[in-house]
Amino acid sequence: MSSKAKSEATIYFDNAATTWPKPHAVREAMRRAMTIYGANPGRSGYSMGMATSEAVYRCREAAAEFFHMNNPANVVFVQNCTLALNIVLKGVLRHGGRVIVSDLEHNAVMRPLHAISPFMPVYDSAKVTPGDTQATVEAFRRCIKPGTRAICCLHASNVFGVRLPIRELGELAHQHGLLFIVDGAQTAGVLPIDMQRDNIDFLCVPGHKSLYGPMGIGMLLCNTDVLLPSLYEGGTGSRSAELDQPDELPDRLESGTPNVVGICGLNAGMNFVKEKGIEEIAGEENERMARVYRYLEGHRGIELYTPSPDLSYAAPIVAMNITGRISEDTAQALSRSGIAVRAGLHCAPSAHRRFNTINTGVVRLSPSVFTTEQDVDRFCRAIRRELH
Amino acid sequence: MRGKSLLERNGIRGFVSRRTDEGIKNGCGYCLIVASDYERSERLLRSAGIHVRGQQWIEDNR
Repeated sequence: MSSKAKSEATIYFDNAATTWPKPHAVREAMRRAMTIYGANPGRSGYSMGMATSEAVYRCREAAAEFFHMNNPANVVFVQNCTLALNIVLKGVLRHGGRVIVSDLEHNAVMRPLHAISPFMPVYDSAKVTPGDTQATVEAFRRCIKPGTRAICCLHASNVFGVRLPIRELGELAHQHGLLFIVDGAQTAGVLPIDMQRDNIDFLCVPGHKSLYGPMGIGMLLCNTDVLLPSLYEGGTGSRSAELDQPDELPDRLESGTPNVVGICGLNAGMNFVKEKGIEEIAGEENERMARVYRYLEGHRGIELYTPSPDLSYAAPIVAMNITGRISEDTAQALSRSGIAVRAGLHCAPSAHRRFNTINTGVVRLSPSVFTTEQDVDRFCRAIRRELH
Repeated sequence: MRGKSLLERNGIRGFVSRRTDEGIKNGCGYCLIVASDYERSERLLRSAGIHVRGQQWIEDNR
């Protein structure tokens, strides 16, 4: 199957959840890993064990370079972005304190914060003004109070695509001695992230979205001397005579056998993105979504919630509804036409409250590098049928 | 692996091997073997923040 091969029946617009299809190079890297990297990394001295260790380390190096971070050992492999956010938030707030979040956050941020203190919120929520960096930064600044330990925000909304000014928010955080934590779930691989330039202390990313890796692998990148406690403990292959979890990264936060096959797939995915070019990918995806938007805005009976996608203030995502219909009904109808979209609340009730869509949800379209103009046109034809 | 990669970027070939001494219990369990540039290697490793627990000369019996 070539990387362009898709099921004839499915036009896939749910790439903000998981990109599909995966590049040929990713599938091949995983097949190869299953064949030649079958031993535990970092535990043994025989050749397959050492080769596996090297393969894992190559991915750490690639990730450090991709996100502009100095030390590859500070790239921690985790199951997914959610686990990375849990490790950071529960670590940073273990002795108390508060975090500033945006009003567009995903439950991957909000539920851990709620779990830390269900009856006394440990967060302050800043209102994002789409496209207005100054207003957004001011809203975050107003939330700083004694006891604030960090700013934690998504880079772009997973529902409405609204992009946050992370460089300026990172500056604000560091001016006030706060840690800056970024949820890069929706942007890693499609918008540039430079941990040095953007003042990011902790970056949490999934492997299975725009980095084109498989499900079940994500990363926590630590660009600070702040040592997080381990959320879970176990064998690391290092300091094995001691009961205390090692202090060194990545071992401190990486217990148990890692997902080597996933790591190799992720490395191939990052390489795919690097070769194609982030700006080119973003440009193509934005073009596809702008084409969808132009079609939709010309029809009565369609509700749109944001301006036409523009990379300077948004990730390439379109949220829409058919007037008078709940989003799940529209998604079901589109599914019967072979079109896969995500409807409902997208695990981001805060964002839906903000956009007054908490009762209906929205239909979300999200492209990948494999989305074609023909895919867009087929979606538009299906919507036209639903409107008439 | 980080040390090996660092040395390679600085033109020094090295390879990683499993340790057989106390390092197994108290360190990462591995050592980095270089055939030349010993002092420079150690300087490079230390300056990159890599903990060097010690050094040992290995007889080449070939």
